[in-house]
Amino acid sequence: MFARAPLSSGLLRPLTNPASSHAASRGLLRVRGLASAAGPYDVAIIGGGPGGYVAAIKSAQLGLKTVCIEKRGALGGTCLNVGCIPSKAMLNNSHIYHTIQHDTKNRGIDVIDVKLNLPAMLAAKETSVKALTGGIESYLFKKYGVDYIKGTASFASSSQLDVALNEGGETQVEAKNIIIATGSEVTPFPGLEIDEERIVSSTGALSLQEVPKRMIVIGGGVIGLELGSVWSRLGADVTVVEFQGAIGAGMDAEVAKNFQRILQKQGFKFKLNTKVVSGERVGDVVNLKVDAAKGGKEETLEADVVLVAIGRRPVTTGLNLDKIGVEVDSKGRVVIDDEFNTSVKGIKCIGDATFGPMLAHKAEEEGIAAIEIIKNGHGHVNYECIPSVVYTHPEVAWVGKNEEELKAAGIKYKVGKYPFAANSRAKTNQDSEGFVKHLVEAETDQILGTHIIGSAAGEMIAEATLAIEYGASAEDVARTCHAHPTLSEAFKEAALASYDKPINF
Amino acid sequence: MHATTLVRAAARTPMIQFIGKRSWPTGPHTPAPHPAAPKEIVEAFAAFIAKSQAAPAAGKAVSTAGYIPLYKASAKQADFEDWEAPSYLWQRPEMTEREMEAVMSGGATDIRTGP
Repeated sequence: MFARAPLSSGLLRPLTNPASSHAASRGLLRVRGLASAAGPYDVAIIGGGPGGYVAAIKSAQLGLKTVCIEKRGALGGTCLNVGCIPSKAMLNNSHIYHTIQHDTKNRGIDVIDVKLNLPAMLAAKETSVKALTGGIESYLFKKYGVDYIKGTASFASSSQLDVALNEGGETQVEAKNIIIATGSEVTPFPGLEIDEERIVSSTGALSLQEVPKRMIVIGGGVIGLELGSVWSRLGADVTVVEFQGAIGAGMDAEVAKNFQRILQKQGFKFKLNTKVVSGERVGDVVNLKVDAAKGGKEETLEADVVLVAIGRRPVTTGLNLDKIGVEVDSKGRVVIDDEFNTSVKGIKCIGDATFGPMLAHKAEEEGIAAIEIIKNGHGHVNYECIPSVVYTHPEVAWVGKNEEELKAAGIKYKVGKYPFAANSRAKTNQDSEGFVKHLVEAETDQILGTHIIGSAAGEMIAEATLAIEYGASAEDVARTCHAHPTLSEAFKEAALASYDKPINF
Repeated sequence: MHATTLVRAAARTPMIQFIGKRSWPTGPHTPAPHPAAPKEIVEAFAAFIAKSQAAPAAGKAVSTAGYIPLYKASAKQADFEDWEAPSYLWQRPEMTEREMEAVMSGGATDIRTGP
């Protein structure tokens, strides 16, 4: 049991910031605080995205006096405002629309007069976004006593931040620890100016006011395929132009190939090994000149909307990092060690602004770990065990190593695979595309990677992540009872297939 | 029933090892390159550490003169245990319907009025 301090008279003194009043009324948070109400903050976090706001809450929970500075005017960062959350709203609702249009007849449901009300669909998306972003500010930050400043921060010194307030004016924040959690932004395509109308980034692609007849997606990664799916389901003719020879960067090659085949059946067109040479908007049409990546015949593609989805880059400019001596690498990422320390003591960096995959859940883990390191001296993030999900239909999800990585590392492995076509629940759902694939170490039977393509892959990958985090063997999973009838039985059967024979296939 | 359990336990030992609740390491941490850092950063890590250690600590640069600490620890006070404190300090207050609703909706229901 922890030793805890008794109440001091100072504990009940009104706090300087009304945002902290809830914390004061709870009493507990101040007991373990390191800073006084009038003193410098223990932790200042620049950025209120998934890394920053989670770090801020954890920090306050651990009794540290915390401030979070966010310039967007709404918390949640790219993920909640213009990324994961609005795209999932559009993916879910466009999937329902598409299902009603094309699939309900086979299920004995006749629906007539189906119409798309795009303004209402966009409004539903906005409602979800506002509920979630508002919930952080008006509920979570107040509940845990995190001070929140709406403004743009830059370093005045290694412990002081100048903040240009969104409402006008300036303030200065002093903190013993500062965490850079400024996230990332869309990488622009050279020579193709994004106007968010006809040439759009992921942000603009979430707010198109009408369904384009022809849409070209530059980049066959996660963002391009998800947003391409949305507009394809709503009626657009979607073509994906990808420089590489395969879609889904980081995906297991076999899964990527199957995924591409499924998307083609849904109406996607793919131009792989193809590079975009130039493009221009002419009225309401965008002309793109493309040719084979290794040199070849040039052709011009025409589209109503072009989505630029070639990746994201860290946001580290405007922070005065060079003034205080924080190092960044050639890609603009803040250089850190294994405890998120930058080259300046007292300043850490987490999330998209530094190394590792640009994923909201990775940033969240780092936010927690960074605060635990500040408070306790130790934190934990397992970079070998960070899941990835593509929220198309079917979904694609993976965690751990893929076959190509294992081959490159010279690790002997076995494959256990099980198709959803042999799974009872998938059959009854009439939704049985895809499979579960486990890669297990040949000698020890330990699961090294799991790759799933299927309608519930994004949820099912959590079981694989837990198994890999625990160092489980395929047999551990196969001997664990899974409910019947569920899609997760395919997960179990694939594990069984890696060292024995599956029962139902 | 017991025999079956025993036979099964003897036949197989799961690889998952339950080691109980984690405790933090007690020794100091030796800085290392970030696991996801690119090769060139890993190779230049010694220079990075040297620069980092040469810089003054941000925390130390903050003057605390004039600040009134909320709490001053003493050896006697450190012996104070959770269970000795008034229950409202260690027991969670009873949840209201409104708070429960806010938890279930991720805070979404609390936007208009605030907590």
